[in-house]
Amino acid sequence: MPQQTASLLECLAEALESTAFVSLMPVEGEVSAPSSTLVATIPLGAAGRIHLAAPAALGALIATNILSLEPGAPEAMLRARDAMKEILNMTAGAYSSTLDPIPEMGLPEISTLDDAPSWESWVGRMSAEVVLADEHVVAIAFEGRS
Amino acid sequence: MSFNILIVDDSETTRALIRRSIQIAQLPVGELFEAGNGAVALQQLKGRQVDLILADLHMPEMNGVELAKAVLGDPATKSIPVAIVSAEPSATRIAALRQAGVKGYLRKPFTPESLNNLVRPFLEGNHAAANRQPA
Repeated sequence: MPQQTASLLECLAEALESTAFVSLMPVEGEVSAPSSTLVATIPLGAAGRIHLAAPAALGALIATNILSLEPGAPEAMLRARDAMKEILNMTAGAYSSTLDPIPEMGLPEISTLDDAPSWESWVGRMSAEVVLADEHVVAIAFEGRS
Repeated sequence: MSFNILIVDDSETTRALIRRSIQIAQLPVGELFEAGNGAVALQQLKGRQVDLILADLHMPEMNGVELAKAVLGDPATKSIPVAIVSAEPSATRIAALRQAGVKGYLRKPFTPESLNNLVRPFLEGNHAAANRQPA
């Protein structure tokens, strides 16, 4: 795994574990592509962008854990997008500190992938690293500006 | 004595996380007000007693720096300390915040303990201690 990717994963793991008590695990064998995916994207000035893709269920889990909601609480799904953006924001802040010069962070935004083939295509196009977060499949990628 | 805090962050999740961290840290806070950006925060300040503003740096419409400048530039609010809670990693930009009058900085992700370390000096009237928060 390239050092850049390892660093990005480390930052994501720190944000997830310290804020939402969610642990990252490597993928062993085949994993099913999610049928519906949230993609959070944050610009890092001239350096590029970071993308974080995961099913909305992971966003809901993050919101549940951050806010101490009851498992399955409807409020968790309502906050899934916001929770994903905030985890990406924290990840990007930590990752940016490893870049020279440290880029200006922008505001995170959310888009969606509507089926499994779109996920497969996106992961390939972005050369994203795929891991598991409490059994939810997650992909993260740094898209540098050439 | 009541000590009221205005939490300013475009992320509702983060505002809730700060509220929860304040509860866990058992900070003796009276009322917690919330705003989704700096412009809304300025509206919230009207007619309310606010003793500390905890603001994100990167927000739509009016960011944390613009909010701090507006608060410090208004005679009615200039005595209210502003502390930034942000994922911003640049030490240079954090130093610039302090030069602009920001009284403290806490980096996300944070723990209830680190939030306590940021906020408690303001409760005790010792702003200089909050300025020593690690970047």
